[in-house]
Amino acid sequence: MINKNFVDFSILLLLKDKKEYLFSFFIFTFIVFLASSILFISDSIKHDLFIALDKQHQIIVKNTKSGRYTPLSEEHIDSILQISGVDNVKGKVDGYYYFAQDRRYFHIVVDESLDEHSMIISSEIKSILAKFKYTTQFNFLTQDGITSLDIKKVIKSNIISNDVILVNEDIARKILNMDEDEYSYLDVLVPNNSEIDFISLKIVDLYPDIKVKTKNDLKSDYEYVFYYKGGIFMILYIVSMISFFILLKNQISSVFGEKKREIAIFRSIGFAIKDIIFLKFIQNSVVALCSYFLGVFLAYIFVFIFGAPLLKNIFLGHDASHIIFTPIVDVKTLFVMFIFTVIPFLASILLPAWKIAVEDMSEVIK
Amino acid sequence: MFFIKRILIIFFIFLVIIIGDLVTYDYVEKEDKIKEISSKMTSISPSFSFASKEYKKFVYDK
Repeated sequence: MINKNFVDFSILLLLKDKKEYLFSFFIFTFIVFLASSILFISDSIKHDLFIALDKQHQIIVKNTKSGRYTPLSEEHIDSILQISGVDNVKGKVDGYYYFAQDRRYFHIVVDESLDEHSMIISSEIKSILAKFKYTTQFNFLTQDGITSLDIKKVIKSNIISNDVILVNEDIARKILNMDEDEYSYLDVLVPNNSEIDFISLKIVDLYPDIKVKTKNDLKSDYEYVFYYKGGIFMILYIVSMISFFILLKNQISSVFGEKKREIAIFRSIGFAIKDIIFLKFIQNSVVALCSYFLGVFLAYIFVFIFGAPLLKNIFLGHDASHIIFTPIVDVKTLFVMFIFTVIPFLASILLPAWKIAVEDMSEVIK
Repeated sequence: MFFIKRILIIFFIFLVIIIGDLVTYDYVEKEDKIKEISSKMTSISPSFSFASKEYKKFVYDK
């Protein structure tokens, strides 16, 4: 039965020794804040990428030569169309244009609705071009000379469109220096989903140099990148874990230090072992719960309201100022984080406190 | 108890801010925009760089 006076006494003791608890509080809050921020950012990026993946074709075919990508031809389209189960094959033009002044690549994507004199750009590209005084039009340097296009519309930057320039197919071929019968990729339409893997193998049988990616392959690639193996995620998780173990060590040593005498005095004035455990439980639960929830709340505000100013650059590079993270909160993972942080934190105090409380008090006070 | 009540009030304010942000965010508009642009792309690749070799390989090879 929880006694209100006992809880008040525990909180008063906590506030009396607040300097000792502040270190644990700040470290714990920082760990939860860092881990939650990484979680929120990766979940948000993953969410946007999987939405984009929904609109992809079942099989994407790319050609390689000496390990590098090379264009595909009409002959490839005709041969793949002969495979039974394939409904349609579309050749697509897509590639990267190197903008030397800013030393970065622009993703050239075809939009059939555009004419030969205009283009659509993302807000990120707009701000890059504006730095070089290209406010209404841009000059592409191609093999045939300069191709000038007017900026027709600016679309909002997101995880997919951040570096995108949409142009007419003929202009895309000109910019990417591709002939009329050359294609960057082939989209293969297979009506029966159960035949996708079989048809992929058939295509590889026909052309051993060709790389075939199914929608499921792309999905697992994304999963792989955002799983624990993704370099930066791994480093940040390790930093959080090491900090957490340092915190636990600090907690344990604090119990064996000055707190040892405090426990002995409580026992001497008549506190039962369960009272001492309960007192420590109340004090550290307040610290752990406050730290955990404050860490999560601050991480949310930092990532989704302020746009994760420093972490964003680590994850997305320095050209991602226009990307806004979609607010995604994975309650299950937050709960797992709660279990793996709050419980070890409490255990690191309660077990040593119990060990001291059951010792001979006259020995402890000496 | 007064201390706990004070903390609960602070957390409640945080919670109101977060729930307000989640409720007012236009998920449909963002999804439509992503779907619109991804439907034009043959092979989508996230348009950002990453501080690991593995990731660079992922972005530029896929």
